[in-house]
Amino acid sequence: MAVKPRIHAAGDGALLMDVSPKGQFDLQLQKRLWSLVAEDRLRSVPGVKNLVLGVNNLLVMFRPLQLQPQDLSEQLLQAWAQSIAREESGHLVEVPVRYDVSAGSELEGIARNASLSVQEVVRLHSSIDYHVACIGSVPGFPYLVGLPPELAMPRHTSPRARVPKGTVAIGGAQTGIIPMDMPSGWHALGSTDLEMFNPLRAQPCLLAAGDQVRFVARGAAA
Amino acid sequence: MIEILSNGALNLVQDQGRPAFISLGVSESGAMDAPALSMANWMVGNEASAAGIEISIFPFRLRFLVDAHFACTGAATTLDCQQRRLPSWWAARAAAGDVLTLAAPAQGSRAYLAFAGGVDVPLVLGSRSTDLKSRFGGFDGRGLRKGDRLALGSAAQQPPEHRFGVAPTSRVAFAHELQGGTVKVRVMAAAEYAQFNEAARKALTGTAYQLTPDCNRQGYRLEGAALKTSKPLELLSHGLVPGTVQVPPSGQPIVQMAEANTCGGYPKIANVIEADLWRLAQLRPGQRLRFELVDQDAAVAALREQELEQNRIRQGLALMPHYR
Repeated sequence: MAVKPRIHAAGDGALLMDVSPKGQFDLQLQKRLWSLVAEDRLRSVPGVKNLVLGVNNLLVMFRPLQLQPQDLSEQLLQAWAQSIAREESGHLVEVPVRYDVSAGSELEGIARNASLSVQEVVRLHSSIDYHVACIGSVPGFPYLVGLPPELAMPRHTSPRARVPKGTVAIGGAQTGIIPMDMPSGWHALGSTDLEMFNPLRAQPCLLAAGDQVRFVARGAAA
Repeated sequence: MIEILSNGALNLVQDQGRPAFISLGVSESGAMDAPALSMANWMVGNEASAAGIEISIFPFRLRFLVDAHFACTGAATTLDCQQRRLPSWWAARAAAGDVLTLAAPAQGSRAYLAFAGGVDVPLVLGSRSTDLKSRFGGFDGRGLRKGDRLALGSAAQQPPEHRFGVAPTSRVAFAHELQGGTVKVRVMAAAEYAQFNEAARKALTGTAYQLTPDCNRQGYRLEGAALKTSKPLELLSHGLVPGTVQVPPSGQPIVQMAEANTCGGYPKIANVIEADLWRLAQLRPGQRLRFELVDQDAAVAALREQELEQNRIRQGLALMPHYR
């Protein structure tokens, strides 16, 4: 599929390359972006500081006194045109989840919204090997793709002031693991003890783009 | 060693941040007014990268437990050290036991204190800056409290012998603009600029925006003419840099700052240019700014000018008599 990427300035020191076809997520294109961030080609361009992978897009930060955006833009387009999909890392992480099936839980709300039983929601949510498209927003937060469409649910109109670390939740068409206590508009399904991020670990992030995640139901809270 | 004598949840150990970890979702963080911290460091013989204290809660007080050189830059505060008064943008020497007080600034919102040798807290992900949102880095990942003791590192270079001040012309110009009531902040068009309606594009630069009380290290919520896109936009999450002017459905812009989330999905109308980020850092809720649209060449020229100003001051510092 020939998709012409759109490149826009993100200030004087960054370019944002959007490769999504009409704003719809495409896993194959994401795999080509995985290869761009895994390889040295763009990082080794003099003046390039950093690559930030998004969902079907890539932000390239650079030193504007050293590198002209027109030149960087050309290099980006070339690198993209020659990119080859990088397959999954082969790293499948099982995330044990205590699904909260108690009366009045947010999971019950998701079930009602989907016209399913809570058991069906748990079964569906834990039936998929999700792809980690990228990491971002807050430290260690994985953008997971693959949520069964019947589980999609619009975010709360006003975010909860504090959602605890380890909450497994659904927001729109995405599911994810909240890596730290933070405000969030997502709907909680349950919680996990797996630590997504620890700045003092040799590998601060548990997950990386290209990994896969499987949620496994453990001792569901009654 | 220095001992903090006042509580301030927003008085933070900061350096130039941890930009290398944005791809893990870690905010760039670091001093909001990064050039002011760099300058304070140079004034005491440090590298720009040394950690200092970003002060937003006044009065701020500390006691020196050792003899130490210090410099204060950023907001126009007044320093009192053992009944000696100094303006900000000055460097001086304190003796062990001296108490230093920073008064509420007449102008600006963030003052920076640098000490010869820098504040020595552990490096976390390559930086000493406090990430308040994620609660790591700096001093236990939190604001400074009464009784906290901060170690100072050993100075890389001897500081100048005399008390002295510097007056960057950019700061003088900013002070004049503040007195005039509206500050200029230069922006470049961002990815969705053209998808905002004509009224929005006109209002962005043709009207003033006021800082709401909801302004912090993560972002500034502004209030003014609502900015609307021609049709609703659904965007996939993408990388964000400090300075991004996002527009949520309310139409009231939010400027992402040092501790911004690294990804987001709201339409972006503009980005504040790097050379003007410090101007935002020194504004207070209730104050007004006016955006001016510029291109890459103008943004780069502004950055070069900032660098030249810094270099001139550093050359001046090098000519002063130094301790041996």
